[in-house]
Amino acid sequence: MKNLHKILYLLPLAFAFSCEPEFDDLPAPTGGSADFTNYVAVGNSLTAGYQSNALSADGQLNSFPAILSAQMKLAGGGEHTVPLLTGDYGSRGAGLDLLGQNLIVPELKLDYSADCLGEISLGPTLDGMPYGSAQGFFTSNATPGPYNNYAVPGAKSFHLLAPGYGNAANLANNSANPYYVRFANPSNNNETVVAAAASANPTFFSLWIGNNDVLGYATSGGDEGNEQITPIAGPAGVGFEATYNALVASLTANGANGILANIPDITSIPFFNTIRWNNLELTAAEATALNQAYANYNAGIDQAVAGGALTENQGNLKKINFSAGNNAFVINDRPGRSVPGLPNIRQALPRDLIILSTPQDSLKCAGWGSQKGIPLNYVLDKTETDAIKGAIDSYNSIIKQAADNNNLAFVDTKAILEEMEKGLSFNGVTYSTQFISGGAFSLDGVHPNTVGYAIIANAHIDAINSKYGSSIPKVDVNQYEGIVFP
Amino acid sequence: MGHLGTGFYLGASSTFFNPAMMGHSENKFDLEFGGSGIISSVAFQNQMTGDVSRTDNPLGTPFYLYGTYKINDELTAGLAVYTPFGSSVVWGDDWEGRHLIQDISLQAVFIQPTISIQASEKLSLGLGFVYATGNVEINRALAFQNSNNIQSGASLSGGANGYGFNFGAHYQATDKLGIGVTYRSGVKMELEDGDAEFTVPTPVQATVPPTNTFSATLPLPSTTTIGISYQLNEKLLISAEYSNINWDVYESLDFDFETNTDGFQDSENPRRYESSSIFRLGFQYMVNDKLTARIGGYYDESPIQDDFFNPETPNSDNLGLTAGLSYLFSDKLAIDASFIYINGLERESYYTGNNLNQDFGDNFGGKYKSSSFIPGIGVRYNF
Repeated sequence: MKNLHKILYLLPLAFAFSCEPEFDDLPAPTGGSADFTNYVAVGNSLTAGYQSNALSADGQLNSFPAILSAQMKLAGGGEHTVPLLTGDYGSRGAGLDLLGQNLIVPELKLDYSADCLGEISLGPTLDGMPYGSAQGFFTSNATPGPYNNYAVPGAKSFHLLAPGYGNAANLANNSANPYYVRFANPSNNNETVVAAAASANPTFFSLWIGNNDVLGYATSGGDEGNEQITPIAGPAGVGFEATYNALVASLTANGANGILANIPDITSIPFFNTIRWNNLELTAAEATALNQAYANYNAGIDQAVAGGALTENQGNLKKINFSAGNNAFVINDRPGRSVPGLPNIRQALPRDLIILSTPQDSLKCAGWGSQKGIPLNYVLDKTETDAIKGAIDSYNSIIKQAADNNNLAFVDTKAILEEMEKGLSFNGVTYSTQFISGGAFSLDGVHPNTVGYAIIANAHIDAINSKYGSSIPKVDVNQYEGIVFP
Repeated sequence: MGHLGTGFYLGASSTFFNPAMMGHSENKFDLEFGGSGIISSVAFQNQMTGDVSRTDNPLGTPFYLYGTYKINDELTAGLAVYTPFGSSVVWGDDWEGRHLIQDISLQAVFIQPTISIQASEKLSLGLGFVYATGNVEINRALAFQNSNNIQSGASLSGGANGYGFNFGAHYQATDKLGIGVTYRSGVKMELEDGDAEFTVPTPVQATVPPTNTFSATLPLPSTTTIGISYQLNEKLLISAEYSNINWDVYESLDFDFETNTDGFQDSENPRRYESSSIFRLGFQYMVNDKLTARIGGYYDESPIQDDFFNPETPNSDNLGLTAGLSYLFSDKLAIDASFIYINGLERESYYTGNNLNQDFGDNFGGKYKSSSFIPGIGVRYNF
């Protein structure tokens, strides 16, 4: 029995063997000086959770406010109610037709399809047939209000102040938005979006608006489209500055805290940077044949220069010349630059942005960009991008000023996109603004995917924590759905 | 006794610790061999969520074989085979740092023929040539997602080898005081023609080739050590050592792939290690004719900066406690038993990698802590 004693001495040692390193528990997250019990999000498609050219129930449940509110809940936040789409609209999504045929179409998914040359490749394709009628869409809402998300895809700043924007009777004259008609207050269907949001009585709000005030102009091809950049000046409901300040005043009227997001430089998104100015690939034989076809045109330009109708510099910009390899696309030129008797065309320059919805079949099989110019409504030239960038800078100084004046948190989404252009890394995974391979934009090239929305939610969390002294935990963005390959 | 042996004679293992002292043996032939089992565990705590992840490392099995042959009073030849660098870290396929590392296994065996001379009564010198051979396997997750939820990943493996040397000098200042200096050179482990397998969704395979080969260089650092030992009395010896390890050679872990595409380039992973120090102290006590006891400790600085800390090699500052016993069964045969406990001190560190100046990204990291238990056994034989 004497030996048993010795074994007992060894027992603590055996215990040490099984001991693993342990940590102190972290302090529980707190809301700091902010109250997240009723967080209400206001904005456009980016706040609604629109992605891959559609709003779906899955997208709504993975919007940046949904991700943010789940984290706020850890720091005293409340429930998050959204007007969920139902049925087919909920599962396949409801988006506006990219070809502008006024159809409601399902979301895009990555799949194989054949192009006009019969070549099969992977790309964004509609998830099934377009919807036959839009009627059911206007009542596709599973949840009665009040809500925590009053975002309306397509809304510009002034639309949030527009009475009747959710009234079905106004759909016919385009002064209502089907996405708001879906969930507008049934007992007061002329109620403005911001009034509805304010009457939900938020203790905390987020406002991200102004993107469409430039995006509508940009995606419709700039000056040639039917949308204008929202001016800075003008009364509330018209000009951006007065409109924006009125929105903030409504949302802060009951003393709510909140966060304002600025506008990223939309000319950096994949929608404008995927079809590059010089993506026309030619063999030597194709280049020679095209050069021969443009010989008379180039001679005409030379004549115009000789005759003084064009300066030499103007003439050089309008002349068309190809060689084997990558070439600048031929695009239509601005109306003021035409030479009588000649097509009004030029070759694209690095600063010309060709939009993602330019029909691929026309580029590949109908001679767009080579035998004839790409129509101007598919191109943003420098004049147009300058106008867009100028408006964004003005909007952003108004937004920053509003945050400062009202002592609200401010999130610099413009800086996020600038960083993402160089590559933005999360826990060992780097995301960029490249279409599809970048991983953070959805298949429409305009809206983020859920990974992208998680990045935006994290940026909001950082800004809220630093403004209000809260400790909302950020999310691991790599956990969310990104680009899904078949 | 603190894993030191620069300043005094330890037996045939001096071939490794300080080759100058191989000739201090009284025997014609000394042989030592043994091994140990590394039971290690690293824990990680995300400072945002509080979630804790733990490694599930396999048992590490370093081993050694040392033999010396005394040619004459001046000259001794020796051979050492040992495993000074090895690491097996298994975080698991699904843990939150999986895009940096899922698991890694690094093994290196050093084979070192050595010679020592007794230059004068007090001064001895030794020099060994090192041939190092090893292999490495690394698994990482990739971020590609597909509709059937197969985890994308990269698996890199290959064999590497390199050369170096081990130099030592020892000066017996008095009967009681010994001073030793060693320089173990760095070894550039060159890895050629390694296998790189990428599991990615079918449409991505045009960009990321599923099978590829790669080359890489893994620089193992040099170690410079100075040690002193003092025989306090007939029974008790005390020894102290200082080592400097030039880990700053480990600037970056780069994989040069044979096949590159527009969307798949060589991989450069900054490590930016800094040179580090180890302080050791040990005591050896002759309990009786047959039994010797050793005890010691050391403090081993981590070479890894706080913003370049990758969970692939999660080394904190380590506090090591060692204990050992030798028992002489006969004049010829002895058994050594040893035990090391290593406490990897808690640290909060992140891996910024190539993303030094990003405001909106998140660098992976949090708190790390580790512990290791290393029981070992060895045999000594002489004739």
